[in-house]
Amino acid sequence: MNKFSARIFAAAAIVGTLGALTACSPAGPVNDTLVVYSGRDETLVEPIIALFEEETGVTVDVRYGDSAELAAQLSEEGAASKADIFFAQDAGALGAIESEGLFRELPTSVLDRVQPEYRSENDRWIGITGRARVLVYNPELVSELPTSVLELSEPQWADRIAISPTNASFQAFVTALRVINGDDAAATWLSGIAANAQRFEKNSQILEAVEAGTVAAGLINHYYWFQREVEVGAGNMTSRLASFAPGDAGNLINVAGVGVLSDNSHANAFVSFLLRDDIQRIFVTEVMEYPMVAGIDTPAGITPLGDIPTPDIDLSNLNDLKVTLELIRASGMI
Amino acid sequence: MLVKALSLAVVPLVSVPLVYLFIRVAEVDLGVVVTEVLSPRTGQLVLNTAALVVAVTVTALAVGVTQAYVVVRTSVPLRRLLTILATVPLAVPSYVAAYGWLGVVPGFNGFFPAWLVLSVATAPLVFLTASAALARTSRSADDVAQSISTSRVRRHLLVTWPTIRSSVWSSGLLVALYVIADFGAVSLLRYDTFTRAIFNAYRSSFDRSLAAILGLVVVVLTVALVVLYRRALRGEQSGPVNVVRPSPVVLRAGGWPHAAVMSLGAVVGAGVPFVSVSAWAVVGTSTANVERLVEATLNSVMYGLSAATLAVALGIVIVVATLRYRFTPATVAESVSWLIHALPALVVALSFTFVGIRLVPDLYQTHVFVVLGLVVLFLPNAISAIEPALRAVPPSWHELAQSLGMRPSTEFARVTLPVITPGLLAGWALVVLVIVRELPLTLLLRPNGVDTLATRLWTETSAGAFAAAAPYAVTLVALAGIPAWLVSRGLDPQRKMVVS
Repeated sequence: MNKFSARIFAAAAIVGTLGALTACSPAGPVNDTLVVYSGRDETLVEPIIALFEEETGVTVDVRYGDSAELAAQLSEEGAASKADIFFAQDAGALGAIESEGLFRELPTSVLDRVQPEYRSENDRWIGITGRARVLVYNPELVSELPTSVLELSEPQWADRIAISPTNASFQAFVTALRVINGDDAAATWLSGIAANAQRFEKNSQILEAVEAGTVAAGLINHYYWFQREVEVGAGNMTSRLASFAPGDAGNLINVAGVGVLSDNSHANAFVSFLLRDDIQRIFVTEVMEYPMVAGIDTPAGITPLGDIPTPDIDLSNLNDLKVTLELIRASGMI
Repeated sequence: MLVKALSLAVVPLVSVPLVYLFIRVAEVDLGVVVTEVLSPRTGQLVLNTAALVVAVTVTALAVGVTQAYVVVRTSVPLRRLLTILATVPLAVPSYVAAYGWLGVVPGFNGFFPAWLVLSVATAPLVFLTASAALARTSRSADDVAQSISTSRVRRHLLVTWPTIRSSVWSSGLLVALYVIADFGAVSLLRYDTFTRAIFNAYRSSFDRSLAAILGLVVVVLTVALVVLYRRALRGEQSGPVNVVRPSPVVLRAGGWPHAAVMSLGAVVGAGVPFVSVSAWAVVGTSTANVERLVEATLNSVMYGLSAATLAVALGIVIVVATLRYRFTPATVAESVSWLIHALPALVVALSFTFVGIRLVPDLYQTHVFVVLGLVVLFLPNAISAIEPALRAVPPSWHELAQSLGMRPSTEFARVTLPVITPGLLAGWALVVLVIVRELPLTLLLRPNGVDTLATRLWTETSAGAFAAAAPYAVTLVALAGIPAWLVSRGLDPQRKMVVS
């Protein structure tokens, strides 16, 4: 055998095996640890978790991932899960875990902090922050802004509007459209937008296309724009954000929220912490998201909460979601 | 017999995803399953997936075999560098490649883009296996053929093709399964395949049963591919083998134009994403934390080395048990591992979640657990390189060694191993490369708070912090250069070999 290769193999085998063996040290004492499954980006959540650790002395073990994938993982883990908290990006993922019966009931003191529209009907999860649906447009390509999202399915928007039909936030908006304008109107809108729209997989791709001017406007969540502004520097954005007329389904708010999965005593404390005034303010100023607690100003430059419709729907209801998906599928977009 | 016992132990390990799919589908009403399987949408997914599989497999085979031939058999300049360039695209996660292309060509959507990105991503799978096959076979047959026929095409059909045939089939199967299982490229480039539909079932409707039904359809369709592969290999005899390499003379074909054409794959596969990623670094203001970068690199290296070494070891065991001892459970283990390879890694990860937390809760979400998952996911990559290598060892050698009273282990070390070393090395490098880039399984099964280069890259890009993502992408590609370089050493026909 080639001696060089033999040496490499042997070295690799030894390093690999040792690495695997030494690395599986047991976790610390359970009592002072809180395990959080976070579908929210690490960059957004980590500073706030660090504050919690500092204040309480509790070690927070965070597993970051995609909200829906973590929801699937929690469902597969079932009652044996080591997770104490699920922090999800959208209500659908929270609804999936609620319907598996894995969330504990939240205490009234926590529930009272947030309006009923933004928490579970069965007190199993609660909204922490909100993200608004907005129109992002390139001012060089759009002279007259639409007042309603319904206009976007009309012929003058042919090939000028970008959407992401596989995205959970887009689908939640379609549910809102169904509730506010009726299933028929929603179906008509979908077939019109299917003819007009450039389709993308992700919100960030839509924003990029609008910035580059390859499409005039797009439907995204507001914070993507602010995230990008932070990345490229203030004043370097070409695109602008706009909301539709007050009460329009196009202005829907999606919540990111948490639910408690175990009887770990720190779990409820963590939820209360996230809803504390000072922490909510951090979410507003640092992450540019909507607060879920009353009496805290919304971020400057985005639609006030009063102009956002609060349709009488439960965005975590998977049956509603199913009908919505069937409608979108019928339009041929997914 | 150790080999048999070990290969028997692999069977339950690789069966985990299948058992999981059956359990999930069994929960569903049979009527629902039938409706879903017979729906027009499923039919469309079959057509879409099959079209992409055929197109990419044919392209990757053509490109990979040509690259292998040029590097191993011609006097093309900068052979070592070309080997590395031909290998590196394997380390680029397909979603990064897709992002890269979308950055350069807006509106890059549908079949053609998916074909291009996946062909370039999978050609290295063929290149590595085929060049190992070419490196272990003698050129003396070439010389004989040259005296019989002057047509180069005929000569290749007569002599070269039989020596690489089994490598071509196994790497072709590997490519086909890769295409079926890929999510990153087809989702960003918006081409509907089964994997995209399975991910959407989880992501949009949180419907694990629907995902499992689609997963089972994938498994059933893959059975057909594996059967085809077994047919193609049936009666495959070992080609002419030389352990001591013949004269270092190589074909004088080639030259700089060849070298330039050869590098095209690397430019398309790694170059375009690389340029796009560098552009992120220039535009963005976010920064990567050096300590984190080092930590993620070490974790990637640890997972890559341990899982690749284990996968190659198990691969040898399975292939030896299959070819030498005709041990049926080993054949079963191999076939099942091929089937699993066509499933989205997310499904494999969820199946390990489901079984792991119930049967081995102490092991669940530890490093060992990640390594086991990675081994199951990438065992076929190792086998695809080892099997053709072992087929090249004539059974008569093995029998002769036995008749001389050699112990099987001694025989393996002194007779078989020297012949299969290029194949092993290629297989090992291949597994390291795909592991370093792996995301969905690592993301779900890793211990809390542990990051690899691929998971950090995902974290930063999903937060829009492209500048912070760039160093991770660059490190990933640079790291991939190391196994590629090792392979280039092992394959260089003009390097002096020490044969024991």
